[in-house]
Amino acid sequence: MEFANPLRRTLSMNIGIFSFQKRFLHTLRRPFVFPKPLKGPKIKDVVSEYEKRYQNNMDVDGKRFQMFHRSQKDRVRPGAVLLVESYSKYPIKESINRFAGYLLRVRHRGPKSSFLLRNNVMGVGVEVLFPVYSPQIKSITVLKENGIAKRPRRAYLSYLRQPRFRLAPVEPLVRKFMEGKKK
Amino acid sequence: MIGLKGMLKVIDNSGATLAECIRVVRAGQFASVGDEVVVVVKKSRTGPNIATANKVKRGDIHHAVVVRTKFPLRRADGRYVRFDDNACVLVNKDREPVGTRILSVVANELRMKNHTKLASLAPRTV
Repeated sequence: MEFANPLRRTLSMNIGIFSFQKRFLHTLRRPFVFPKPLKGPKIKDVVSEYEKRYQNNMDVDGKRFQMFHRSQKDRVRPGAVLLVESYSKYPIKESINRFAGYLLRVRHRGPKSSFLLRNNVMGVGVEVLFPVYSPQIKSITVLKENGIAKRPRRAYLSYLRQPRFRLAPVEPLVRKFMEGKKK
Repeated sequence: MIGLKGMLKVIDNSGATLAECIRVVRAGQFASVGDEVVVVVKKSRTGPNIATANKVKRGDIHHAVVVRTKFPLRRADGRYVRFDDNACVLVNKDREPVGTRILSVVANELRMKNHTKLASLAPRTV
């Protein structure tokens, strides 16, 4: 994503003019007409404006924002079971790769927000940290709003990595979803 | 990040179960998924499901390819994959596997690092 930064251009031009003034003041034609300074950006906080634009470009429907942002009432809570379908050879949108797991945490960092899914694949625990606004992700579906017996009272469920918290397998939920999709 | 003294689970049917890294083949201190490593076999098993032609014993030195790491692997779109353990597959000097089957999950990075044979033998890749 390339965004022109008008602020940078004006700064370098102004510095150039001042150094010119210092050195060659005695050779200047008087009265010297200095060029008018360029107008700065109307919005001073360029970084957050850039982040907003990036987010709007990446998240066209607004669905990812609704799913993950802190301000949304119907956001996904940790402990949910999510299925992520992504294109394995992006930008070619043919082969789809699926990963499902329990949501351990949502990392809120604006456009760089990410969420952590944990699953048991063939007896080995696998964790994948997905960026929320990644264009490689085709869709994120909630298979179960709360996959844990009690409602988790924490934002980061790192305790689920311990062997005593044996999580129910996610495969039957995925299979049910795929069968429902075929119909 | 597998370095000297790093313990790796062996997930093929060569006979070894646990291996200790003694050298990272490429220049650098640590090996990641897809890197070749020299290992000493620390534990081996006997039984019916072992590739009997190439049975590996305790104390043997072999080359191996790291196949799973606990250290997160970065993918192109910024996603990170992390496994619960470190695992490897024993290979010979021609990068061909010593065993005939791979018994567990494997990271997709193997395909990008020219270990397509290992990736195709694996029952599941993430």
